Amino acid sequence: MNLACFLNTIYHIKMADLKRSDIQKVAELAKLNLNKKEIELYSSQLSQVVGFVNNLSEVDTKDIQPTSQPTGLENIYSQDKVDQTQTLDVSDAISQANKTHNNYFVVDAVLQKDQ
Amino acid sequence: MIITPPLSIKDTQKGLLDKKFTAVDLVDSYLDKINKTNSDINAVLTISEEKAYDKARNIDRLIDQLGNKIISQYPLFGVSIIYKDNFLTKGVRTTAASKVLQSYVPNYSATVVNKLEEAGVIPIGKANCDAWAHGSSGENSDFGATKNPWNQEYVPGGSSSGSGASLAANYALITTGTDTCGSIRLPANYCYSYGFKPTYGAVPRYGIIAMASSLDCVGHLARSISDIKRVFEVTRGIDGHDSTMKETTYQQPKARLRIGVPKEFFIKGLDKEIEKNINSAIEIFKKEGVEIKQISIPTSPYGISVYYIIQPAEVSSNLARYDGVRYGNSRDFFGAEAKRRIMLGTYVLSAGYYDAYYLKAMKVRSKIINEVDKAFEEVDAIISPVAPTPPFKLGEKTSDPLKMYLTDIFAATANMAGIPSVSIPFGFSKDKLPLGFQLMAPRFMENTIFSLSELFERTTNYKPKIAK
Repeated sequence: MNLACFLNTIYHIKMADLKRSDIQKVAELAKLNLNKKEIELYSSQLSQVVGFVNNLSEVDTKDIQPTSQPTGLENIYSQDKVDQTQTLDVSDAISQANKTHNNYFVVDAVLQKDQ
Repeated sequence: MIITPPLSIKDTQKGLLDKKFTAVDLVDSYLDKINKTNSDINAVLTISEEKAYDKARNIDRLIDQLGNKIISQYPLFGVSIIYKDNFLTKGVRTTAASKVLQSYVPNYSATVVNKLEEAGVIPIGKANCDAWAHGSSGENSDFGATKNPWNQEYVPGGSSSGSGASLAANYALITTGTDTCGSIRLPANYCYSYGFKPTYGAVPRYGIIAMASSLDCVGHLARSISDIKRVFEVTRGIDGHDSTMKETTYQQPKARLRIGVPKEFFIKGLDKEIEKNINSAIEIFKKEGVEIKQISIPTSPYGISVYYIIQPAEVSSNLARYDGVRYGNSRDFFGAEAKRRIMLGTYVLSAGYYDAYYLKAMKVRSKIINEVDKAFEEVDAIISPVAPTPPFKLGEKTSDPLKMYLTDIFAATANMAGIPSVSIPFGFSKDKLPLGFQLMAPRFMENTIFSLSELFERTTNYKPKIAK
């Protein structure tokens, strides 16, 4: 496929069908609180984008290895030593937190009694 | 004292050494300009006035002490800079233009910020951008869109929108940016400046707010290729804190260079003015003895699809750390585009879809990389448009995310393959908006695109321009 077809087909894409329940599930996985309007909007917009990127199925990738980074680096080792110039003291480390207690971060309860 | 700051590092440093003006005068002048027009342009989110004057006074002292010798120790002395707001700056608010980080003040600076400040730059402030660097127009900033100083009805390009607009408005001499899929090259191009995306792994990313880690590159914008080179000499090189960096030596370009014109980038759908403009650039190279060759990167049109799988997948993972516990606000403060990308990324990575989307995209990426590497057996550089259209109007693409995403269709190849690319300003459209093109080279062959850009600058008698 060339660019011409590519651009011409933008508005004739086969929409993928992402249901509201799919969007709801993905939002839970991503820890996002979406309202009804957002769920509605994202189910149509994400369907459009996913429909578009589905064109990758046209590309033959038989026997091709996936790329996770492009410079071909392998394992990088470093000394197992603490670099004191690369550490923050406790007061710096917690200085940006909204809630702290005795030099600890305060988080919302994770486990609840009735669960 | 208010002066008109020069538009190049060379002229700025000469003026300082000749005592035509002081570094404090430069800060006075940039801040004066920002105070007068930034309420319209919205290119700068935070001004680091105290720090700027401290550094400027120090530079003035060093000039008195060291005279001409200052340059060997402080190669960028007196160079005023605005950092994109996803660069951590110790003691100066850093938001990535997101309300999640609206009051975040980092306890350390990015490696690049430290390197630049050790080289003598004067930090003026932080540039607006699309929140988390997600966007092509600057309109996704949680602190309001940046306007293009060349015409305020138009976008400056994104995501480094404030970095581009700050140069067009002359708020600083250089600016920094990050490029995950054109985010430096596009705003540079839309604001009539040079935008440089180095090879993946050439410039340390430690202290830069991560977007898509297999693609993100740290680069900069300036008004001439010589300034781009001088900044790169300072920013590049391993820092020991970014494990994706590669030790390398930068080779000099060959005496006779060949430029490839990839046929997939030059067909119907490309704006006519852009096509005509780039063809005249090709003619100029040809006249100067550069060999022009038709090449093909057949899978490159799929680059943008690969990008819109890999990038949101990595975004969803990188933005998972923002939980509002250790710093910043809760996830309810994410804007619409960040949520859209987190959702898309979480979807393509979720059980049952990983192979069909993420794994497939990584394989198509391999295919594009192989084709790019093969093309570089025939040519030393590749020329292409930066975007399919000249700058577009504010609001034109905001309701249609897919249309916005396709702005980056020509940028994707360089990020997929991790190769360096520079966008070069060249001419204006009939609507008096900036035009230009990009050159790409093999990994760590930055010198090839620098050399071709210098040739082009000389031949066209290029002069830096700022918006009126």
